[in-house]
Amino acid sequence: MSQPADPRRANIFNRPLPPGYRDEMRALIAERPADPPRQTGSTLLFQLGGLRLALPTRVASAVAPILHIARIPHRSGTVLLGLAAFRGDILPCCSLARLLDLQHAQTGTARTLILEESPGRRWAVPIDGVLGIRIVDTDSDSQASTEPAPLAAHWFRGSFHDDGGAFHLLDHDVLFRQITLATA
Amino acid sequence: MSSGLEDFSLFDLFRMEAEEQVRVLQAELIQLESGTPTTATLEALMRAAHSLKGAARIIGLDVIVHLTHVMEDRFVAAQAGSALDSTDVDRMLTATDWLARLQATPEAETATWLEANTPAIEAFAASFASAAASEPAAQTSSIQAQPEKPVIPTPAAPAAKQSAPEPEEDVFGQRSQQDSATRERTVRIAADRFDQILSLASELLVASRKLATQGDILDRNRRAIARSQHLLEDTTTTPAARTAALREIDRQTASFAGHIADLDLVSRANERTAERLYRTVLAGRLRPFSDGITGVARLVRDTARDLGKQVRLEVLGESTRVDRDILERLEAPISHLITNAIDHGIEAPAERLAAGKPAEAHIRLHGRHENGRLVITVRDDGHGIHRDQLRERIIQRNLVTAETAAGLADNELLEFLFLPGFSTREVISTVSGRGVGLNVVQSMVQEAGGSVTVTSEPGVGTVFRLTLPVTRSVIKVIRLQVEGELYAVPLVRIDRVAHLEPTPGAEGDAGTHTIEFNDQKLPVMSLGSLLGLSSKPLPAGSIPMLLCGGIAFAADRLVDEIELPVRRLDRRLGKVPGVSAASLDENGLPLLILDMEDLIQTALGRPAETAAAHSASLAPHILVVDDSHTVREMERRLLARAGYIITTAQNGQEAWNLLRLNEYDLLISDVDMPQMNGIELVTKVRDNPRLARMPIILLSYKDHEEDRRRGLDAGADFYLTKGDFQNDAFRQAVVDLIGPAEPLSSDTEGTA
Repeated sequence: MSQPADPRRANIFNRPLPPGYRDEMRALIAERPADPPRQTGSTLLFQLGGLRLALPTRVASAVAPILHIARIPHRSGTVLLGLAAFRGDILPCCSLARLLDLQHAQTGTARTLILEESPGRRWAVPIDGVLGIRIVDTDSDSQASTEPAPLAAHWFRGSFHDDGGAFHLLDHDVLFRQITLATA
Repeated sequence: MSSGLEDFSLFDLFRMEAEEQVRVLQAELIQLESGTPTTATLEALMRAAHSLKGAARIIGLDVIVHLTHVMEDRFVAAQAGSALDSTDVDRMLTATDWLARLQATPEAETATWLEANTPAIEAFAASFASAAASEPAAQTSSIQAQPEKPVIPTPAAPAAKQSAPEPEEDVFGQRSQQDSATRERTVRIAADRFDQILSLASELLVASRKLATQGDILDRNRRAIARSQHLLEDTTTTPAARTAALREIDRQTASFAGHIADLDLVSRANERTAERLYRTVLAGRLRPFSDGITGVARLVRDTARDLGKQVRLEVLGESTRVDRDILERLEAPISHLITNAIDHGIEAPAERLAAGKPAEAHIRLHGRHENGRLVITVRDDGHGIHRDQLRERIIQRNLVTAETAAGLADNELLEFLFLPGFSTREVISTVSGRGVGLNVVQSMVQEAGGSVTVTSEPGVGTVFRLTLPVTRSVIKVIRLQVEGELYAVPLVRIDRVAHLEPTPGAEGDAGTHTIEFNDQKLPVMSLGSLLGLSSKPLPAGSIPMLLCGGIAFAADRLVDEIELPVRRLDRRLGKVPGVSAASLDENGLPLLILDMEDLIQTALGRPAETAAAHSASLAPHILVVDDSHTVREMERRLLARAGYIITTAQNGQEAWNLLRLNEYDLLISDVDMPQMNGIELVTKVRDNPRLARMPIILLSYKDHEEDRRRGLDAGADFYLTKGDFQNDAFRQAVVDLIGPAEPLSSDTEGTA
């Protein structure tokens, strides 16, 4: 680049390029961008008994303090626990532990997870605690866990490692279908 | 099943649809002109024109059908690859303006508006159609001769499936806006009332800020007192400082009392405003009685004509305000009572003349408020109910012995009319005599929280009196505890509350307890056992009880009497025995409202036969799928009138979800729908082992042979065009596939 005629007009935009700048830019542009992950998303990590589970935050839409569950005559039973109030709505509350057939011993500070199957169709599910939220790339081999699934494989979409160990990503379609069947 | 749209006239529905679709047309046309057309844009435009055409056809707006048909054709051509230029967009926007103007015209002025504008719209549509017809030639010339007119490229026709990989799915991404938009429900509210609500909400906002300020002040008080207390507890504090600290505590305590009084004032004002806001919103739910009986005049005319009778209908109290929830349950029982009156009660003209009555009979339908209740009477001046004939029927059916029948009081005798399967008619006609009608009327009224009584004077006429709550949004309840759980019982269903000591039954009748009340022996039933919560025997001594329907219901504890908002029980739970609704108490905790009628029936040892259960057991259940709410509602009304139970869905995906989870006898689906079209839906159903044999009707505006073939090849049993609504082919196809519906009310047709 030629030197400006009037040095007083020199500014940040017409200063000389640093050495190697063009080569660096060329290399950067030539580099093929990485393929975007096929399935990524924000997931909520939670504890249920001895299990460390994950669900997409789109589905696990809220976490609430443990709620009062009103028993439903003739209906409250194994999976359907009763009705719980959440933000002015009355939601069916069901036991994920019993649905998954876990030997459930409470392991943390109990909370209630609000699951949103579709707009207006929500379920309250007691859990043993929230462990965090993270972005998960379930297709990435670096994150996939080799730990065997603790339950039948159809419940899970995959598993991955986080700082605290292996998490199992629940298949929410299967989960909602099973909840519906179990509470019908 | 309610669609939430029953309250609107078809023209209202058309206007709502037009408003939505005009918005889509305008937005997408502008988008198109901006030079970024996509397959989705053209699809949205075509669909908007198509939906409007369907809606216009339903309500007979032929000129709009013509206009939208031309628009749709042009969009379809564009989808097939024909370019759209800005002249096309201008034409489309002009057409959209016509639609917008019609949509903004009040229903009462529509006829005048159409009369004035039809020639212009027809002329415009014709010129549009001819321009579109010459489009391929015009396209070339327009590009060459008028380069200033930008040609908008259209995306390739979607005839062949794209071989490119489908876009990656963000499995945890947000749902599409369309998904949630299609689920939005419409609530109409007068602008004045909306302003009132806004104003009250603003007052509440201000009041809540005052509360926060008061809280801050009290907190400062508390901290000042704490500081002084700390000084007093500190042994190093000088006497002078102690004195000052004591004075400060006195001062803050005095101030504290003042602030609490202020807080009380703010809190009371807040409560009043909240109460006014609540009443205003509640008033928004109330609608005139006349809205719930729109079809009654026609019903009287048609039924009287069918039966060769002359009947004049008089409606009083049309402006009486009724809660929407109540109103939507009224039409069926009222229609039933009126049909009954015409068929059973009112004599033929000759018979009336012979009895010294005018040939024209008189039915009076009266809605009014009495003591905070809605009272509706249906009065006819027919021959009344013949007691001897009624007694004879009761004995014939072995309901009571002849001796007992002879000793029955008049009101007891008339009560038999409400028994399931009871009819005084010898012959079953198209409108009467199957004998479940009045029972269903009673069930329906009871479901709405009311009761029905009948009085009749032979030769003079009959009066049915329906007593209902004015609103179901909030009810007074008695809250009680059963097995550690709180439940609510509507006050209106309780005859008496008392603490009584039950008497054990005689030997051999163990477990049966009774109480004496008003010289009557009433059986005592434990609510805990009726609700399936426990099987413990009744405790000894005095027990809190609710006396209701001749049964004493024992609870563990009566808590209080309060007003509760009523929430429908989640549909996913279905009908829960003994429970009618849910609510949230003053602490926001859920509790259930008990269905006392159901519990009485259970206590008496017979399953409760609610109208819903009754109709569910008789009527086939049809799933209707259409993305146009006008068409959807039209189909729903048509089929519901024929006695079927209808559930509606807005697109194929929604229908598929419903089909997976519920049982339906018939699927009726549109073909062109967003998300999942009718062909895809039919294919999915046929591929599903559980649903494969389900009868399916496809309904479409497309009537070409290839469209029909495509639908039938996918597995539909019938492929009908929407024009078949008019010629009865639609209803006949339904009957052919699943048979006629058992009418909800036996004595009428079309009151479901």
